[in-house]
Amino acid sequence: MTIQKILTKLESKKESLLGAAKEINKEFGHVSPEAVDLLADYFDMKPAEIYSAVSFYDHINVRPPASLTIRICDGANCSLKHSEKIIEEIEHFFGLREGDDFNPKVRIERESCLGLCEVGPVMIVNGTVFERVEAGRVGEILNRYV
Amino acid sequence: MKKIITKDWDKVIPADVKSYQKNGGYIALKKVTRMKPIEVIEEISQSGLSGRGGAGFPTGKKLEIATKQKDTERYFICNLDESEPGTYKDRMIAERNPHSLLEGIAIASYAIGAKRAYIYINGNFALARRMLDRAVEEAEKENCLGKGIMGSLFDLELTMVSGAGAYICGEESALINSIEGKRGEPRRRPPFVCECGLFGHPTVVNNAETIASIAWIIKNGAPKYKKIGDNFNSGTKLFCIDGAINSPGLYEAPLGTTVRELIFEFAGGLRAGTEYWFAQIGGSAGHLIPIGLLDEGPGYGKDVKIPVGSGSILVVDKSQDIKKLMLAWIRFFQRESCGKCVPCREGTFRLKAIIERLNNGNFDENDKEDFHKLIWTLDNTTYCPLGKFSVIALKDVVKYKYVKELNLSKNKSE
Ligand SMILES: Cc1cc2nc3c(=O)[nH]c(=O)nc-3n(C[C@H](O)[C@H](O)[C@H](O)COP(=O)(O)O)c2cc1C
Ligand code: SF4
Ligand code: FES
Repeated sequence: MTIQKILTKLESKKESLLGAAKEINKEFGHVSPEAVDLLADYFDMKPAEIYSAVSFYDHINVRPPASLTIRICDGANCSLKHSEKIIEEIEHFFGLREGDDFNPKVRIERESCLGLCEVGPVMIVNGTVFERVEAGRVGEILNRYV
Repeated sequence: MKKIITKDWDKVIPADVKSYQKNGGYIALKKVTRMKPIEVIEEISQSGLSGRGGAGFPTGKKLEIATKQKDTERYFICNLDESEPGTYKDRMIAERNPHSLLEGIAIASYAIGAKRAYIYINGNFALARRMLDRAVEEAEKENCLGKGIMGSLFDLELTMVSGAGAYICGEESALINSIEGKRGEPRRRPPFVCECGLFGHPTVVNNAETIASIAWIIKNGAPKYKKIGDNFNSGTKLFCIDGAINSPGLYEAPLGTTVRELIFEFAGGLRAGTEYWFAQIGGSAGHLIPIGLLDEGPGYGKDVKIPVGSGSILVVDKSQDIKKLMLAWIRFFQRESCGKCVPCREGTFRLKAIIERLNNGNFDENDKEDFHKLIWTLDNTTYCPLGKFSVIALKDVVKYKYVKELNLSKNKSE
């Protein structure tokens, strides 16, 4: 789907901007400078205003994402269930530290509580949620993606 | 056990309007459209219902303030951004009985004369969003939303807005900025949002759990609601209980129920082999409850011993490493600081570095001094309450002397 198509589905009202940006992010992985210009036209705002708004939110990328993104909840509840151990396992698996962007293919990120504490610890690999993750089985899950 | 919000969860098919109506749904809304708005507000005020988003502001009062504004273009917003760590009660309401939210929203909107209402929902809540979308569609078909609701002159257009991953957007003025397509940064008050909120118009923002009790109050009457709870707090509260207990999950209990009862009677007691150390109530922005306070009932108001906050309880046993927990708390607030004011943006960052050193054994006297100064700064100088939230639990760690490196020497006052 093109950006224009995404936009024509939405009303050109301010309260649709966030939804539009999320939709573009979902389709293209990020909101590019060209997308910012199109959004600005459509919502009758300045590109700087659009950029300032969309770059604020965690769920919207303003740069192309890595092809494999692993997010781990490090909230207090998951932390008591050893999410730190899981982060270490993942770091070890890829030889990459959490938050680093040296590797254009893989990115490991910490995530705030997802409200899934009851079934934590939680890990999200390219959008797929894994619940009650055990440190010993992290490799097994990740092997499906590499 | 008295239940209000979760009462019908096992009976209704979520999002199915017929099923909700069969269980007494939308009767309150029908009743309301035959009442004067002021009578509706009166009933809610009489019930003693107070905001479940954390602060416990009297709901009736808030609605009343909005109606006092000259501007008659008014909005109602259901706050379903819920991102406090450990908390998922609002998500469950939306997933299990979305119509109970829609009915409450319609009643409150009617009361303040709002023709437009919004639900701002956490961007992670995919299932809850789907349930609500379907419920809205079905409610419109049955004339419970939309034009001329239930044969009255009351119109209500409901718009859903999904957040995009920002804890601060749960704060009402940041939430409003976010709906307006801006950065989710808090606004200066006054003006309060009920005077000047969304697009500059009077706006009432209520937490989803608050809203989920409104239809029950209208249907059963304020006196019946007021009877539930204790002398200071009316009604029931949802508690997400987790940690060193046998049955983690969501429980509804009358306010006034003690922490001991919540842990031992509701959540199945402590897991075998664990020993109670403390519990944290209200997520990462919550206070710590040492064993001596177990027989208190969490609630609202200045004088309460245990502020209930969002109501989630994390039970921590003696085998846990509190320094790691401190790191989890501060990491959260550092990441979620919106960056608008220096004390919070920098303070949480520095505090995180100090707590990291506390964890890897490189913590020294300078760190200790800085730690206490930063706590004071965050507690007293930030633009919005997030700064204060970030040190509530840390202050309790100091108060209860849980970490010896942080203890202040005798000749130094706090
Ligand atoms: C940092 C911060 C985060 C907040 N997060 C939420 C939230 O997720 N949900 C919520 O209902 N209220 C949240 N609040 C409180 C809201 O600002 C507001 O007081 C509340 O939605 C009012 O509803 P109530 O009166 O029904 O409690 C937050 C406040 C602050 C300062
Ligand atoms: S205290 Fe300041 S930086 Fe922190 S969230 Fe509030 S406004 Fe933003
Ligand atoms: S703390 Fe991990 S999902 Fe809530």
